[in-house]
Amino acid sequence: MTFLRPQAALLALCATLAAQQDLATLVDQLGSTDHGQRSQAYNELVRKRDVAVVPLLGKRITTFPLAGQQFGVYLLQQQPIDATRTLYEKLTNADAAFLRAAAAAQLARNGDRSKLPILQKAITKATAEERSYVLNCVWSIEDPGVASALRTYLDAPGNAGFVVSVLQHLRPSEKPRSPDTERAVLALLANPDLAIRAAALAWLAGGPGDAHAKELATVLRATPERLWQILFLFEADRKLDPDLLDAIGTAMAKATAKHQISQITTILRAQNADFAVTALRSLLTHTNEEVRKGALEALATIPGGLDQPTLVRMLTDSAPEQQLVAAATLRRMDDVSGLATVIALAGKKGNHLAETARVLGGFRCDDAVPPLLTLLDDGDANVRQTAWQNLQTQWRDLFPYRRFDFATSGYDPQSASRSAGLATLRSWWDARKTKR
Amino acid sequence: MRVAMVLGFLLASSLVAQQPPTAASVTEPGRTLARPLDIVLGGPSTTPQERTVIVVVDPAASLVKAGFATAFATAVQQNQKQLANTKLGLGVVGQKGVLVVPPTTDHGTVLTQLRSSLDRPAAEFQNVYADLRTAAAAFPSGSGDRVLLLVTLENGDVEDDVEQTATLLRKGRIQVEVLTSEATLADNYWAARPYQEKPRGTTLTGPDTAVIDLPWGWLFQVRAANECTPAGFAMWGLTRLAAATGGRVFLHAEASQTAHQCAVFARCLFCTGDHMPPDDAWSNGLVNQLGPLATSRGDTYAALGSDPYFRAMVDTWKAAAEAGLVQSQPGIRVTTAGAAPDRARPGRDLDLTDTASFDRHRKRAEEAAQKAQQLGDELQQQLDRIDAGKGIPREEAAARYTRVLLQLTRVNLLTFAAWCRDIAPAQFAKNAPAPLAPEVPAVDGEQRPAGIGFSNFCLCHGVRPFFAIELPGGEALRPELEKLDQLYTTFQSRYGKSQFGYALRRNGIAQFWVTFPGIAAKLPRNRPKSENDQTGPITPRRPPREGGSSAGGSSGPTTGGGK
Repeated sequence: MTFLRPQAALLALCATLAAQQDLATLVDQLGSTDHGQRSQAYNELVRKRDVAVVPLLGKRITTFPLAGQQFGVYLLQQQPIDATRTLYEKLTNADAAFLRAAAAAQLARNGDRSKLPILQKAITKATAEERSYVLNCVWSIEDPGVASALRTYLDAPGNAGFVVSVLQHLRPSEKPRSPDTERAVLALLANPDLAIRAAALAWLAGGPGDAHAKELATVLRATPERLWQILFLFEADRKLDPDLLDAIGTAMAKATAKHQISQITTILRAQNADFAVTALRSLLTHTNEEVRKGALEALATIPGGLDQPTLVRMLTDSAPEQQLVAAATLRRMDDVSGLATVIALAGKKGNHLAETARVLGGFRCDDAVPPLLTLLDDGDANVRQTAWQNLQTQWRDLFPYRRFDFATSGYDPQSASRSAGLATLRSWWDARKTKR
Repeated sequence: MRVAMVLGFLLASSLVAQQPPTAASVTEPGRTLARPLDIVLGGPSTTPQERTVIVVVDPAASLVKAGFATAFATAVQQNQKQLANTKLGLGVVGQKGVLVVPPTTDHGTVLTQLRSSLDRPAAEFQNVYADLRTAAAAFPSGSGDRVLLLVTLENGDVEDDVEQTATLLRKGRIQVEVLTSEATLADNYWAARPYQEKPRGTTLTGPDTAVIDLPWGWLFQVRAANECTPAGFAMWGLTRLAAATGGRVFLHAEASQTAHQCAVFARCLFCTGDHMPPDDAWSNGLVNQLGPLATSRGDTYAALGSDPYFRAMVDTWKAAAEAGLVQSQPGIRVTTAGAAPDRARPGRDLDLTDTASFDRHRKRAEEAAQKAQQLGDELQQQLDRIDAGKGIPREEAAARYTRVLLQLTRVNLLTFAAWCRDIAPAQFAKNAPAPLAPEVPAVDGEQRPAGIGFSNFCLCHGVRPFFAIELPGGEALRPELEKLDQLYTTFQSRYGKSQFGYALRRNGIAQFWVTFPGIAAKLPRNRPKSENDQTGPITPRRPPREGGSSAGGSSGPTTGGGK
């Protein structure tokens, strides 16, 4: 047997070398001008999360196109600071302002505030193309000098998205708002691009009677789709003119995605919870199912947004998705009257079953277990996966004095042969049930 | 008829007059910085009046974080007209002589100095009471209102002769307005940590009351609810200063503190942080009704000593401590003449967790559970005998809370006894059958148990959901859980939206497990005192408080103040 040892070592060495070669190739591909190839290489490197990528990037990153440099910076941020500090130090002297900014910012975030002047200078020196990339690397740095450098970007705004991004970055370090930023934003009101003007108005919008708020209300009534771009510029603790709130409420009806509803609810709640509830309730009959669901979930987060009688009514006279939200919301309010509805839904075919499994998993009682066990054998892998995760949490809570190793059941939601695992789980449950 | 009405009015007036003032009478609604500053700086009239306002600031990091300097500058600017004849002064707690800007009409100097003072936040314990006494002498003689605005988010618990301070300020016709953070209900944090170093001449206290009027340290509760329940009011010392001088208390809290959290020191079995309890909204009326007395400590003793609920509760607390059900004794003793301070002693230690003698522990736990039932029944009988409306509402809530906690402790003891009898020994039994998959043995390998550990399942969702949970004791435990559910539900239906309802939800049903010997490490040698002297600052630093509380800044839980 001993003669095999050198061969095994050689094989291991070959495997390591091959892996390194593989890594080097992927890093090279980050420098590709082909966007698809670059993204694919980046995703693969993110997945590998190999610290060996650091020296490889050190050799190549400065030669990459800007988008490749950004990928390189993201990959470096995945690694521990001790493994990357030397490279960051080196990059603070790079030719590309973006690389200098990214390196200085990361060092500053890790406690080396002596790099802040380099960061400020790099921000100022960045080319028009580099500026949006620079914005992506200065997160969580609150420094007056950096804020001042970022503010210069407002003098030559590229587009509304860029303006919104700059103002968002300035917010944490500007409490209260800086008069310099206010001056720069006021100047944007003369910009011919309506989207940029809308962003400026959103930043400036104030309380009752405020002219900027009134003007923005007019803009939003004419072009409600602009709301989603400027949404993050409304500050939760800044009261808005009622006319603008009304325009925002009206623009909400143009939402197309669930996340838009939750974002706007955050703003409206802080302004006027009653108004938010009224606006959200009007969306419960929206033609878009995603929006209806988003509104229901958002209402559930507001105390008094959905009262118990309304929710109980929804258990019987609404679509399965809404029934599930109603049951889950009632359960959160310590009312388990929706369980019977959820159990009934678990027995019906449809695309609501994954959500049914999730909602069932929230109930801590014996009755919720059998339907979850049934869903473990559903034809849809997503349903099985959700049921499996929720069953584990549920059993650990129902039986706090027992210890589980669910892998020993042999059940795998992704496997085609699940019957043995399911039988094991059912046997355990039946045995416990007779004891309880 | 008219005579009867007059007599009725007089009777009602006399009854109202008998109620000592509570913190509710001096505590203002809201939790912002802007409102108190606007009210205090703006003064009582819209026309400029001759006034002297000295702002004494305790420059803690939390105050800097809250943006106090900016809020103050804004308030000065917005009240420029009303402040035309007002002299503003600035004192900084911890500075020699306190006063850094004597009262002046040059308000800009005050603003500049305030900003620079807050550039160097202090992390040490500060004796704000001593500094207030010093600041009182800085008011110029002459006519006009005298107002002292004390801004301290962290050091109201460093008590130093509150009554003398109040008397001095009252004699100087100085109205004390306080901007501070919310205390925790009958906070026992420092009472449980008597070894904490503190500035000379001070006592670390911190509850909203002059005396801790709620039992703490219940058996099998990981941490006292008193340490994490927002009181709705400031610490007693600060409330007292405002009450004694005709001032007000304004509370500050960060907006993010109001989010619901099922448990601080416990695990929730019934949700993953998405709970929306029906009792989550605070009832300001109820919180105020259950406010602590704002009287002097002596007067508080007198009032509590004659309160039937308090007397019943303290007697039970003492008996429960002697039976080992509570780890603290009341710091007050009731006599036929009234009440008096008592040396704080720990309760009896039942020694249930330090060894793995399961059978011995079971017997002791069963005896203690019996005692819990007896004390609970006796307390209930006493409470039933008290006429409705007779007594201080807060003390009634405290007594009824104690009743529920006795039953909760009984449930925990019975669970513990059943665990010692059925579960723990079986984990180490030879030839024990292997559990069915996916269950695995609770204990790995050949290790021998050394002791017992416990944690809590929170009661935020009530007791009823526990009927579905497999707990030691099984069906035999069910009637006790049902009794607890009945007591819990009754209590919460009355007090759920108050600080006492919140406190009850901060307790839990215990879970037990065996512990194993750890790897022993050599303890550092305790050096002789002469070598152990600190070379750094003499004033001890305030350690960060676990679990979040107003005593460690404005980051604790809050009743929200009607926001």
